[in-house]
Amino acid sequence: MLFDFLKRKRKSAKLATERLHVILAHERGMARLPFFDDLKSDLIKVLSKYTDTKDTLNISVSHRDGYDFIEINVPITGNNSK
Amino acid sequence: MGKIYTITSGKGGVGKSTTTANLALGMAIAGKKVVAIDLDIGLRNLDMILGLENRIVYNIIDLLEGRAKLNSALIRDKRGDNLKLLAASQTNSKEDLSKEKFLDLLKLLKEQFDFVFIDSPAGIETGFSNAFAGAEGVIIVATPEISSIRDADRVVGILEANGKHNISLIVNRIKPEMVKKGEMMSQDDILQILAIDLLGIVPDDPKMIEYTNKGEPAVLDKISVTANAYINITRRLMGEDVPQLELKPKSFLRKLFERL
Ligand SMILES: Nc1ncnc2c1ncn2[C@@H]1O[C@H](COP(=O)(O)OP(=O)(O)OP(=O)(O)O)[C@@H](O)[C@H]1O
Ligand SMILES: [Mg+2]
Repeated sequence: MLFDFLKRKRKSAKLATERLHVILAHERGMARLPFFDDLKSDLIKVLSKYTDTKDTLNISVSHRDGYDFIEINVPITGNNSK
Repeated sequence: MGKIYTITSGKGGVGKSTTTANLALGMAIAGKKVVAIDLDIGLRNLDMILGLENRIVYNIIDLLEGRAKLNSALIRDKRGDNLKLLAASQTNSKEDLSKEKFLDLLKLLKEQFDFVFIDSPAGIETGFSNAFAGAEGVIIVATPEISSIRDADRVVGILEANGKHNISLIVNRIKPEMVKKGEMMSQDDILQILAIDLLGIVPDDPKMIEYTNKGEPAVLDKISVTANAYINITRRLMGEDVPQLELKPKSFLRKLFERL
């Protein structure tokens, strides 16, 4: 299949970069806010009452101008009228 | 007043000691007065890389505990007067180093030298905070591998939490051929992830083992790309505005030439 072909063609450096982005978003969050994991699972609980967010919820912590920011991205996919 | 730089990494074995030796010697060749401190207490590496292992009588713990005078603990480089080495102790553990005494020593060294380079132990436990405590600049060495970059990110977090903001990155062991093929992260990929300043890049050099065997750091092999990489970094540390080195994959002819 074309999709498999494209996946195989994807270079390992690109894959490494993507994996690092994901894991570091999580680890930076944990380092700055020790309650990060609990907050995340609570958010998932609340949000999944309304949408199918479990796997697509993207929450990260960033640091700007002396403040920590919790950034939450919730793509509303498929059956959002659960 | 001299400047103090700590070389650190998080992950072990990525080239901290090699980098420290080459930057310190490179600076000395450029005419600066330099002291390199091996703070990997319990182990001892910098002396071998610099080829000075036979000259060591006293180490940093001897000095801090008052068993040796500064002048006898500072080992003179065999190539010139500009570089001095302060060796690690092999019989002590990292806890044996008193932070207060070490910070006092750094104050003293700053008055006598232009640059102080501190080679730190791997990891983020004891010894790590001593290594960066008195430094105004921290240089993080990372290789283009996920585990090295992940650990570097941890270290950046810890440094920032401790109020250290002058942090810059050396990407070590880049293989331009692999980067070109998309099989190794480029320095730009790494910089984008770590979000710190790039101090410089160093190629992966198969001759590194030869340099270490001889105790003659790469920076002495003046015509090599690796020596240029280190000189490029020392110039930047001296405040010069030099463009980053460009590493190009070796041409077929060049490879053939090197075999001859
Ligand atoms: N640019 C390079 N090209 C090839 N080999 C290298 C390069 N830099 C370092 N090395 C090799 O990698 C090994 C580890 O280097 P080094 O001892 O400097 O790392 P380190 O970070 O100080 O390790 P440790 O965490 O144990 O103190 C050595 O064998 C060294 O020669
Ligand atoms: Mg070392």
